[in-house]
Amino acid sequence: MTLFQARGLTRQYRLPKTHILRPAPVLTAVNNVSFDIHAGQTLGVVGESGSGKSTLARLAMAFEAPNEGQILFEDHDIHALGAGKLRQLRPAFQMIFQDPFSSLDPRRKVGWSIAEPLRAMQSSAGTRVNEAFEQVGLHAADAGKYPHEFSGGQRQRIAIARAIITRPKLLIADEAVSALDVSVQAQILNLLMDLQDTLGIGILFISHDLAVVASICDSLLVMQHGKALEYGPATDILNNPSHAYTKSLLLAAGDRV
Amino acid sequence: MFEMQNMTVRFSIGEALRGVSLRIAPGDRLGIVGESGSGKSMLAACLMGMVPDAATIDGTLTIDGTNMTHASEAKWQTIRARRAAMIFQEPMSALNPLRRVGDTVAEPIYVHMGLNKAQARDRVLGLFEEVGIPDPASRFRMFPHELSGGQRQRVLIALALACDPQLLIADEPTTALDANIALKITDLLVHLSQSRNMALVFISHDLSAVARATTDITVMYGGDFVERGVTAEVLSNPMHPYTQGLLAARPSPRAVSRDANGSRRRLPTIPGTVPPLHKMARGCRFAGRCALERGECASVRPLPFGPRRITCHAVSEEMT
Amino acid sequence: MRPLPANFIIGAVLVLLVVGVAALSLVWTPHDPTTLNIRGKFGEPTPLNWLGTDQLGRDIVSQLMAAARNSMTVALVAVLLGGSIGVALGLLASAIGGWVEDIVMRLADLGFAFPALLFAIMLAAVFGPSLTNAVLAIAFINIPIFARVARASANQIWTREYVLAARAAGMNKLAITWDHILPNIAAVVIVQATIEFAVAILAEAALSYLGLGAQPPASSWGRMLSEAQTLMYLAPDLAIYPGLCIVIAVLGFGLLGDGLRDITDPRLARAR
Repeated sequence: MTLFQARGLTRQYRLPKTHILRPAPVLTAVNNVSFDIHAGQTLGVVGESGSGKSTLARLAMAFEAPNEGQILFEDHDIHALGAGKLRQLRPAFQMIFQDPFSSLDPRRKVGWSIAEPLRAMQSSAGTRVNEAFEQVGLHAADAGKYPHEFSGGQRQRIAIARAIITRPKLLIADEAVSALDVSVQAQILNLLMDLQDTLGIGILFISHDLAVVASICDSLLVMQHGKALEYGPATDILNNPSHAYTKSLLLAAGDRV
Repeated sequence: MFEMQNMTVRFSIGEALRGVSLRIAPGDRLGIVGESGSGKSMLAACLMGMVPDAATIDGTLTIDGTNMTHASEAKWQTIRARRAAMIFQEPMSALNPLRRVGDTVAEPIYVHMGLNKAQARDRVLGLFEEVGIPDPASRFRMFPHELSGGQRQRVLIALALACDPQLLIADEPTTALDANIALKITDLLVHLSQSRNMALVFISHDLSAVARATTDITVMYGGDFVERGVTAEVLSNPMHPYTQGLLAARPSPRAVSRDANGSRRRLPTIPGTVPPLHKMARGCRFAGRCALERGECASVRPLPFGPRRITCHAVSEEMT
Repeated sequence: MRPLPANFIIGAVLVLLVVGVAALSLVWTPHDPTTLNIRGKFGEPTPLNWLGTDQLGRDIVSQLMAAARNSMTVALVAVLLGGSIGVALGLLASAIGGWVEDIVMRLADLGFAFPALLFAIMLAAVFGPSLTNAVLAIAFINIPIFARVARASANQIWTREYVLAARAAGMNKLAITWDHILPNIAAVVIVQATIEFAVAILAEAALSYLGLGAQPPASSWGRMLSEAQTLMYLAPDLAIYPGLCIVIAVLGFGLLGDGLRDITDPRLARAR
C-alpha cells in the first residue's frame, strides 16, 4: 500500500470580478497534479512563488478541498471523510511550517505547544514530550520555556518535535528551512533525514530552493504555474533535466565558484 | 572614500562589532558574508549612521576625509541618499503602499537636488530605464502592489540611485526573491556599480549571489572579521575554520543517491549554534564550536594574520 | 524595559483614587450620606463637613463617596456582563464563519443602532427606574461593541500559523478558541473594557441625571447633578463637585485604557 497518493489534483480560486457582466476570472493554482509518496522516502516539490506548491501543501493537509482529483492516505480518501473521521486520522500526517517565529503560540510554553497533537487525540502526554525533545536534539528541560527564548533553528526543532510526537507516518514540510541560516539549515535537514531513518516516515518536502530539495529527496516534482513540469526520481531529473525551466533552476542554484 | 578604523559597537550586553577596519574606494565591489548575529547589519548601520542610540561607538569612521564617527543626525542627512544609499531585503515593506512608485522615487530628487516636478519625473524615468524596468512611463504611475517582487526591488534600487550616491549598500537584496529574479538583480547591481563607478557593499548569507556580485569578500562571525580576500579565492580555498564550515554546509543541487546501506549522505554541519551576544566568548567568538580549538581560544582574542587577515590562533600558528 | 507611558501612570493613579474611595465608602464615610439635616442645609465647608452640605443638609463628601461606589459597581457589572456576552458572540461568529457570522454581525449592527437611552426608558416603563435597569441598559449597548472587537481580533488570530498548526494537530474549533484565540485577544479586549468603563460611568451619570437610574436614597453623581440644576444660582458648587468627580473618573479610565493600548501594542512590545 502506497502511503500517500495524489491523483489529478486541481484547485481553482475565483478572483474578484473585473467586469460587472462577465464571469469572474478563475485562478488555477494547482492543475492536474499527481504523485506518490512511499514510507521512508522523500518527495521534493520545487517551484517559485506562484507555482502552486503552497496550495499543494494545503490540499495535502486537507486544509482545503480540491476542485477535482483525490488524495488517498493509506487508501483513505481524505477529502471524502467527515470532519470527525478526518480529525481521527490527523495524528498520522503532520506538518512543519515555514516561519519558526509564528508557528508556535507565543503565549504558551513550548512543552504545552508540542503536546497539542496528543491532547487532540485525548491521550496523555506523559513522557512523550521529553522523548520528542530528545529526538530533535533539545533538552527536556526546555519544555518550560517560551518560544521567544529560542533561536530560529531551535524553534524549528520544536516545531518538528510537535510534528513527530504522534508518531506520524507522513510529514509535510512547507519551506521548513527557508527562514534559517545556512549552517542551521544543514542541521535541520540532517535531523529530518535522521528521523526518517529511525521512524520510517514519508516526507513531502516543499521548497523554492532546488539545492536544498536535492540534498534530501528521493523523487522530485517540479512545478510552474500550477502544473507539474517534471516528476520522477531525483537523480534522473537533476542530472538530465528535460525542461528548460528545470535547467534554469539548476543554473540559478548551482552557481558554485 | 569610506574608511572605518577599529570600529567597535558596544551594547550593555556585549559587543556587536569588535574593532573592525574597512576601506571602500569608488568602484569597489565588496561582499559581506555572515549569518544571523554576525554583525553584518550593524556594519551597514554604521556606514549609514543608523546605529541604535543605546550603543556606544569606539573607533573612527571617515567619509571623504570628514570624521563622521559621532556626527549629528543633521550631518548624516547630508550623507545619506547623496553619498551612501541602502537597499533592503523586503521590497514590499520598504515602499509606501499608498503612494505611486514614481512619486516615491521622485521625492528625494525634489528634496536633495532642487529640481522641479517635470525635471524630477524625467530623471525618475531615466532611472527606471537604467534599472531595467520595462515601460517606465506606465510603471511610474503604479502602486507597489501592482508590481512583481523583482520590479519592486528594481524600484528600490532606482530610489537608492536617485541622488547619484557613491556607495550602495545592499542588505540581503535577493533573499526574498525567486532564484531566477535574484540572479538578474545581482547582475543589475554589478552592472550599475561598473557603469557609475559606484562602490557596492553586498551583504548576504547567499554565497552564490555574493560570488557573482563581488570581487572581494569579508566573512563575519560574532562581530569579527574572520577572513578577507579576493572572492574567488576565499570561496574556493577557505582558510578560517568558520568559513570552511559554512561553505561545507551548503547543499548542492547535484542529487544525492543513497549508499549501499540505504542511508543518505548527511550535510556537514558546524556543531552547536551561534550563542546570544551576552554569552559570546571574550577571545575568539568561534570558540565552543571549532574543531581546531585549543585552550587559549576562548579567552585570548586572535589578531588578524596573513594576507587573508585570518583571526584564528590555530591557523596563524600553522602559517608561521 | 521601556518606561511606562505617562498616560498609563496618570490614568492608573486616577483610577486607583476613584476605586479606592469607592471601596472605602463600603466601610466608612465621614457621615451617613442619607441623613437629612434641613436646618444645616447649604452649609459652608467646615472641618465637620469638608465640602459643606447640600440642599437637604446631607454631607457632600459622603454623598460623593457613596456615589462613587454606585458608579463603579454599575460600570463593572454592566461592562462585565455586556463584555462577556459580546466576546462570546464575537468568538462564535469568528469560529463558525459563514452565515452565522453574518447574522451575528447584523444583530450587532442593530444593537449599535438602538439608543441606550431608549432602552433604559423602555425598561423603566416596564420595571420602574432603578440602578439595576441602568446596568441592564448599559450592558446591552456593550454587547455589540465587544462582539465587533472580539470578532475582528479573532479573525486575525485564526490566520496565524500556530492556529493552523493546532488544526493540523486535530484540535476542534472549540478547543482552539479556548486555548489559542481567547488568550491572544485578551489584551485587546481588556483595553476595550477599560475604555468602556469610562463610557459606562458617563452613561450611568446621564441615566441617573434623567431620573432613570439611581433613585433616592441611592446616591449617584448624575442624580446629584440633576438636583443641583435647579439650585444653580443658589449653590453652584453643588453641581461642580459631582461634575468634577465624573471628569476625574472618566479621564482616569480613559487614560488607563490608552496607556494599556500603548503597552500592549505588538510593534512596541517587540522592542522590549
